[in-house]
Amino acid sequence: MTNINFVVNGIRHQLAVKDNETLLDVLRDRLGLTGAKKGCDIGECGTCTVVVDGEPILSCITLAVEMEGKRITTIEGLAQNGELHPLQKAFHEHGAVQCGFCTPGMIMSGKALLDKNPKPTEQEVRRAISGNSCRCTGYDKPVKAILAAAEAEIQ
Amino acid sequence: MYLPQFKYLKPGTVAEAVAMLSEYQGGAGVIAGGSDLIVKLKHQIVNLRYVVDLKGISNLYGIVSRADEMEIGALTKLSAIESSPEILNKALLLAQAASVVGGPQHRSMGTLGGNLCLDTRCYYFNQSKRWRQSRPPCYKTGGDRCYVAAKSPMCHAVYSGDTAPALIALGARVRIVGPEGEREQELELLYSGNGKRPINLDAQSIITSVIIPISPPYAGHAYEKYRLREAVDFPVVGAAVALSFEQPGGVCTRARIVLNAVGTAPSRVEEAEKSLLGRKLEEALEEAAELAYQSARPIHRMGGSPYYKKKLVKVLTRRALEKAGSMAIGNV
Ligand SMILES: Cc1cc2nc3c(=O)[nH]c(=O)nc-3n(C[C@H](O)[C@H](O)[C@H](O)COP(=O)(O)OP(=O)(O)OC[C@H]3O[C@@H](n4cnc5c(N)ncnc54)[C@H](O)[C@@H]3O)c2cc1C
Ligand code: SF4
Ligand code: FES
Ligand code: FES
Repeated sequence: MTNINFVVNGIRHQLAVKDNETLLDVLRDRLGLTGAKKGCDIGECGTCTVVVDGEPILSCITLAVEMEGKRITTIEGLAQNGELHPLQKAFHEHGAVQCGFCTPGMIMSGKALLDKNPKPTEQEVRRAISGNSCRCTGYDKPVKAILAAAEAEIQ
Repeated sequence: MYLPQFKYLKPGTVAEAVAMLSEYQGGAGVIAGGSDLIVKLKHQIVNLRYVVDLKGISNLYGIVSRADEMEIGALTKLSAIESSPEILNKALLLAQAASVVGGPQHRSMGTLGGNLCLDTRCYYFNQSKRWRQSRPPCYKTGGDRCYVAAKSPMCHAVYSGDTAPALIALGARVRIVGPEGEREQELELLYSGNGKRPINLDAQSIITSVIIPISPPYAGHAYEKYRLREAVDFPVVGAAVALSFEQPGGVCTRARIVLNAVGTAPSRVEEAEKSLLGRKLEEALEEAAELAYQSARPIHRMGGSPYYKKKLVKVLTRRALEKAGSMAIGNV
C-alpha cells in the first residue's frame, strides 16, 4: 500500500492504494465515481478515458500509485451546481448518446481537446475522439455535438 | 481484469533506477507510459515482482537541439513529439511516425523510449491467460513450439512500433545507461531479430535518450503506415523512407528504406537503398519498390496474408519514396 494525494474533480483526496490497483478501479470502487466505464480493461476502447493534468489518458491501464500530486477530471466533474457542461448539453441535444457506454470517455476526449483548442475543425474533432470506440452512433452525432459545444462556449 | 501483485518503485535518478534493476535482477522491469507493459501484466504474459517507474527522473524528459543533432529524452511523450515545433522543423519524419501511434490517449501516455522498446506481437501471445491456457506455451511464453510456424526453431512475433523505423531511416542513435556506465549505439542495433526477445538490452539497463542527426539540405522523408482502422491499430505494414539529393531534382546521395511489421525487427532494405544511389529518383523508384517487395518475407497470421503484406510493402515503399522525393524538391 502506498499513500497518495491527488485531486479528483476539484476535491483533494488522500488514499492508501495497492501498488497493483488501476486508476479506473480506484475511481469506480474506492471513490464511487462510476462515470468512467470499464469496457475492454486493456487500453483498446477508450470508455475509461479521464483527463489527468490536461491530457486524456486510459485509466484502465494507468496505475493509481502514479497519481501522486495529479489533477484528475472525470465525467462527474463537468456539471457545475446542477448545470450541465456545454459538452454534455450538446451531446444531449444532438442525440449523440445511444446506449451511452462510450459517452463518458467520448466527452472527456472532447473536453481535453476543447481545453487546448477551443475552436477545432471537424477533422481535429474526429482525430481527438479517434481513440474512443462507439458501436452505436456512427460518430457523426458526437462530432457534431463537440463542434456545437465549441461554438456555444465561445459565445 | 486484476493486475498480479508487484511492488512499485519510483527512483529519482538514473543511477538509482539502474541500482534497483540490478538488485532485483530478473524480477524487476521498467515502466514508462505503461501503455504496453500494463496490458502485458494484465494478461500475465510477463510477470514482475518489482515495477520500476522512470517518470520521477526529471532529466529523462525534453528536447535539446545542437548544431548538427537533436537529443530527445526517452520519457518524452509521443503527444509532445508530434506537436513539438522543434521536431516538426528538424525531424519531421519522427513527428509523422509518432502521430500515427495508437489513439490520442496512447500518445499522451506513451513515451519515446517505451515505443522503441515495444515488445513483438503475435495472435498467440497477446491474449489473456485463460485464452492461452487452452494450449501449451509457445517459445515466447517459455514453451518449446511455435503455433505460427510449426517447424520453426524460433519465434516469429512481429515488431510493430512506429517510431523505430522512422528513427532508423534518420540514422538515429540511442544512449543507454547500465551498471557499466553509459554508452551510445546505433538504434538499428537495438533490435535482435529474435521474436522471443526482440530488444537487445539487458534487464539492468535503460534507454535515456535518442540522438537524431540533422538531415542535410535537399533531404526528404516519409512514413507510410497501413492499418485496418485509421486510429488505434498497429500497422499491418509500415515503410519509412529518408532520402538526400545532390541538389533539388538531382541524383540521390543517401537513401534509407526501413520496413515495419513484416518481421521480428524493423528492417532496412539495403539492396533497394543501393539501387537509388547516384540515380534520379524517378528513374530508380520502381526498381527500389520492387526490391523491397522481393526482400520482404512476412509470414502468415501476422495481420494479413503474406501475399497481401508483400504487395503492401511495394505500394507503401513506392508511396513513401514519392512523398520523400517531392518533399526534397519542396513540393509539400
Ligand atoms: C490499443 C493499443 C494500440 C496501440 N497501437 C500502437 C501503434 O499503432 N503503434 C505503436 O507503435 N504502438 C502502439 N501501441 C503500444 C504503445 O501504446 C506504444 O508503443 C507506446 O509508445 C509505448 O510506450 P510506453 O511509454 O507506454 O511503454 P511502456 O508500456 O511503459 O513500456 C514498454 C516496454 O518498454 C520498456 N521501456 C520503457 N521505457 C524504457 C526505457 N527508457 N529504457 C528501457 N526500457 C524501457 C518497458 O520495460 C516495457 O517493456 C498500442 C497500445 C495499445 C494498448
Ligand atoms: S510466433 Fe510462434 S513462438 Fe512467437 S509468439 Fe507467436 S506462436 Fe509463440
Ligand atoms: S476500458 Fe480502458 S480502454 Fe477500454
Ligand atoms: S452510444 Fe453506444 S457505444 Fe457509443
